[in-house]
Amino acid sequence: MIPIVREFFRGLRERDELDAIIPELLTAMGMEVLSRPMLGTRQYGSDVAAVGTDDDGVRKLFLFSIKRGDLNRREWDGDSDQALRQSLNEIRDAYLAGVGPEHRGLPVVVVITVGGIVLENTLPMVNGYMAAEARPGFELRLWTGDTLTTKVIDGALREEVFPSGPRTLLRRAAALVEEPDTSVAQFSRLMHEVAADDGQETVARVRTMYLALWILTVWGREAGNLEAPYRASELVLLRSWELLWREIEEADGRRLSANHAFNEVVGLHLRIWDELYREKVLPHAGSLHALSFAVWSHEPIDINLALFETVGRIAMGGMWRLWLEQPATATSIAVEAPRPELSAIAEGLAAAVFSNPALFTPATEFQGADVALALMLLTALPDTRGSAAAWVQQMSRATRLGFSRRAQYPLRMGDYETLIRQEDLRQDDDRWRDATSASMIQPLLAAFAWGLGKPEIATEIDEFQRGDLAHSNFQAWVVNGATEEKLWSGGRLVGSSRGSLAIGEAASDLVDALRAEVAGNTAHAQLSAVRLDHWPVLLLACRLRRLPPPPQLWLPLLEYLVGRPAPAVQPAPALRRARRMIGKPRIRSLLLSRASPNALMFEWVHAARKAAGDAARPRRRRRRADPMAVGD
Amino acid sequence: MSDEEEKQEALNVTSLAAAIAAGAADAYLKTMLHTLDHDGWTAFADASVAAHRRGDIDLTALLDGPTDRRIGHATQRLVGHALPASGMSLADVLRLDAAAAARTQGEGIPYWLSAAFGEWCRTSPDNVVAAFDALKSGEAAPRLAQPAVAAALAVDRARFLPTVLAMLDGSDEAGQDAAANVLGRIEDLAPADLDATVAALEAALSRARGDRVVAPLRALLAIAMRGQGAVGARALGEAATRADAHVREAVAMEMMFGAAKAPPEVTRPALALLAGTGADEIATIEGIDHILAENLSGPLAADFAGLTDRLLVGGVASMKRLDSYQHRLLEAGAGAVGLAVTRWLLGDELRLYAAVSDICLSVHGDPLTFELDFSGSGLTAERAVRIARRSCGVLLISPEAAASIIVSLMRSGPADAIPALAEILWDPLLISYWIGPRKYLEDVLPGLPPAAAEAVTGVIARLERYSAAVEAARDMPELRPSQHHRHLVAIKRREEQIAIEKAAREGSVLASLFPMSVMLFGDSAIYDVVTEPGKTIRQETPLGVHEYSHELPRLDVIDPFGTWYQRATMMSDGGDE
Repeated sequence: MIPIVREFFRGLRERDELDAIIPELLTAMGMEVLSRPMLGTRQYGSDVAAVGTDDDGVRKLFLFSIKRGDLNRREWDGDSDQALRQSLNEIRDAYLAGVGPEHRGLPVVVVITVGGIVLENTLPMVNGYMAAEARPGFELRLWTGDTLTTKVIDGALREEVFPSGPRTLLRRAAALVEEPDTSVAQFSRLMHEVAADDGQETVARVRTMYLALWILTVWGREAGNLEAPYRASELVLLRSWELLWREIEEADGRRLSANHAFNEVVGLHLRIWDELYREKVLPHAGSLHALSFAVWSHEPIDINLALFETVGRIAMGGMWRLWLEQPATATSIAVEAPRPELSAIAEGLAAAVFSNPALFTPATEFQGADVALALMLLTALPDTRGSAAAWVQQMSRATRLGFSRRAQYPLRMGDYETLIRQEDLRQDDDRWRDATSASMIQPLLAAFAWGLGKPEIATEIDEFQRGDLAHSNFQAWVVNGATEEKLWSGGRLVGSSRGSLAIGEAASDLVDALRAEVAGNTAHAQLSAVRLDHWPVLLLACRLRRLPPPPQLWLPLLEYLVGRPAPAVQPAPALRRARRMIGKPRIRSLLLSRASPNALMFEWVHAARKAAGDAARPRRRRRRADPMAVGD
Repeated sequence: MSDEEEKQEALNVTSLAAAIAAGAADAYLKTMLHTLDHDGWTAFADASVAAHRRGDIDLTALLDGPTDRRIGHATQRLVGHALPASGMSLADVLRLDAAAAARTQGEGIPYWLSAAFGEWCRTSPDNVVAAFDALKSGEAAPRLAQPAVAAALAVDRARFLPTVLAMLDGSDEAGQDAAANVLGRIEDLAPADLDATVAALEAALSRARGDRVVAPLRALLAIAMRGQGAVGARALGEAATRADAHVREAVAMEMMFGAAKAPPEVTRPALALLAGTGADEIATIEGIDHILAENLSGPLAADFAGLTDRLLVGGVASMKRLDSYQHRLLEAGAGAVGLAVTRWLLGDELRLYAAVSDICLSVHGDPLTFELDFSGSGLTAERAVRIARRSCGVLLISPEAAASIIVSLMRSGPADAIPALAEILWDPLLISYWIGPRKYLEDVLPGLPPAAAEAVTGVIARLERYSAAVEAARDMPELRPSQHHRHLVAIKRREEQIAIEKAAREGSVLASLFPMSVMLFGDSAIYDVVTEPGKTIRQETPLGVHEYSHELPRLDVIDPFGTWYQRATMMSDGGDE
């Protein structure tokens, strides 16, 4: 276990990562954390402050000055304001003068904290400084990566909290991080065991899961593969919600710690998302076929599955940002003046769709969750509504054409074995009929076509339903009274299917039925994530369980759009050339002859932002605490 | 012959008699054929004939035996030798024929017996008369009519020609056919005899209906090939009035070997008749295939090409069925291929484009490319783009060929089409195939005119940017399929491979002919070769590895449906819709 944790500390590569984990560690050790790191704010040398009982039984004030990685001479006493010795002097000279009255009489322990080791040529200077500055009531200590490791093992991962079973599971999950399926399976078992430990407070259990996720993340980062950490983070997030929402709803003091713990989990989830999608995937989203080839498979179904999964995850990351940005009073998820960060995600998503044409033809109905999330994000933002409309049109026409030729149509089965052997299924009339006997994607496309001002597409789907798909049960997924107990950690058999949806001319019947369901379904509003205004948690659960988000989350957006000018149908803003646009003249880009897709994306984004007056937009006040904002 | 040799011959003949009596003549003669050298075998056959003449053995019983046992080669040789030489009676000959027929059920009379019967007839005019009488009475099988007629005209043409000509008008269909078949192939008829023959055959043709047309028509065409063009023209004119599959097959069969010698007044109406061939007329198409293969050039090459195109466009034959023509076309060199391909591309028929594809796919090794000249075809830009789109759609699995067509259009087509052609060159060709077409383009680039060179250079640069962007995104293990999924795919592929191997084995002629031995190891196989009974030599054969690789269209993996759709729209040339 020790090597796993030691490598974890060594692998924390950003300053704020070590800063972020230290408070959790201190909390797990029973200390009360007084302040957390804040970027850009003068801290007078102290990154973290905490009060707790020391090994000698005396209550003391602990002040941590933190450096990531190994400590060398320059970082100890170089020219920079951030040199550690300078920070320690500031604590001595300035910080202690501003300590609150309730802590003023406490002995002070200044802890020099480094993620790695103190290099040999620096250690004498550090020791000399510590000896020279020490005096009664003012002590200096050195915590290296090894010290932190020992603290973790003795603290959050101590035997009574983290028995040998979970330790073994964490070790396996970390060691197998390059085999995501296996790694996540081990991590899920770990999470289950920790969550089921009634002997611990729920917040403590969540903190333990959080720490384990951190460790897995660092190992994934070292291996260059964040798949397992990302999937684990989704599981941890949902499990944390399941454990914490009751306390978050409570009016007593536990609410704060529960809120904070959940906030940390969301923050870590989004940190992993950022590292995987913002930094790694989205830069290639506008490169034609780049993500498709990155799947590195000769099986078209592998590429299809990976791309829709990626699209769903990108959209989910966007929905979290949208949620953070949106005021509580909003009646729909539409954001007319999004921040650049949110716009970039949506534009990257649109670029990914139109750079990877496999995304025009879902292979299974279970990809409907990803499609819905992506359409929600694209539709919520004004600049990408045209892309949403273009995608709806493409998917609608491609699936109809695919059905007529039995070439490509989303099957109601989602298991891999069936999907890689579709040829057999297509040869058999009865099996083909059975495989296409249910659809949530078609009504979803019809509804978005209606909302995006493309009633003709909805009417086409209506004709499709009344013709070739008369045998298919068009449906949507909604919450029911038992959803709360099963959704966060359960399987797919949760909620209700609102079936027998007829599309009707321009989706009129469909919209009427959905409106009635939204109005009549009382369980939705009672769901904790909805009641407590954490609806991205519900979206995440839907994505993870392969459930289409309920219409309560997207119908208001479409209602909001109806009556407004319909967006111009266009592929990704960044990619005006869309290969194989089905059913409409292909858009040929004049720019293609002189620019790479990447350059095009840049050009378009630049132009679109300029046109939309992005730079001149007033920044909206953030309503919710941003888990990514350190020290918030 | 020494005494010793005489004793041995006697012993052999005695053994043959015993073998015939025991119903084991085939096996005995096979052993003798393997044991004796040529002279020894001839001496043995002569001795057997002499013994038959003496009455020591009965060679007419040679072919007796179970009807499911094939007649051995050694037996055939002995019968073929003995039948004309042994002085057999007609009854004996017919007995042998009946026995042979019984042992070759459904296969018709074998050539060796027919030839032997003919030889027997030629030994005496009386034999001819006897044979004709037997044929007339039904005692002899109709299949013996043709060798009898041939023998008759060889033995005494003046005596038997009137008889043979009369057979054309007789009631015996086998006799009619035999007479026509033989008459058509006599090369040294005197002018008066030729006139009489032609008149009789034309009369027979005018009377004939259905498959009865075949023999007189072929006979007249055969005569026409020997400098009697007017005869052929009249015959074809007559046949055209009731052209059907029989007529076309007759024409195809006769033209198959003589089309090059046929005068234009025969060739043109013959080709016109053959243009009506249906897809189910397998033998006729085979014949046409050979005709086309032999007439790639010459004064009537355009007429033959016209027939080719009509058959292709009508869906009567593909290049796979016209394999001899295709083979000869490729042998003829780039010029001939280029002319045909240019004609087909300008033909604006999808099946002609498919012919180009078939040719490309028939070539192994270096991919086929074309250097076509469209300069004299008056192409508009729109038409040039249409040709390029269709070529890409049809030739998407022969990308170098498709690229070469587009480059040819750039080089010799309308200049204002070049930008659109470059787009097609890029998508779907280069975007699907990063290696083959690019290499081709780089090879031809130095010889291109400036505008085309600039366009090609731009397309190559675009490919570089595209592939660089794709490669930049390669390192994303998060997107890759799991080990479990890869395992399931491997199982599926293995199952598919097993099914393919099984189907290949079942469909393989060689596999059905030869026993197969599986070798577990090594790079050579050692086995024993039997050189003679009881004697073997050790033979070692090094094993070779045959590998063939072909660049696959990348877009077919990452976007199979879109690729299909694009290809379909390009082939139909329905624009992007």
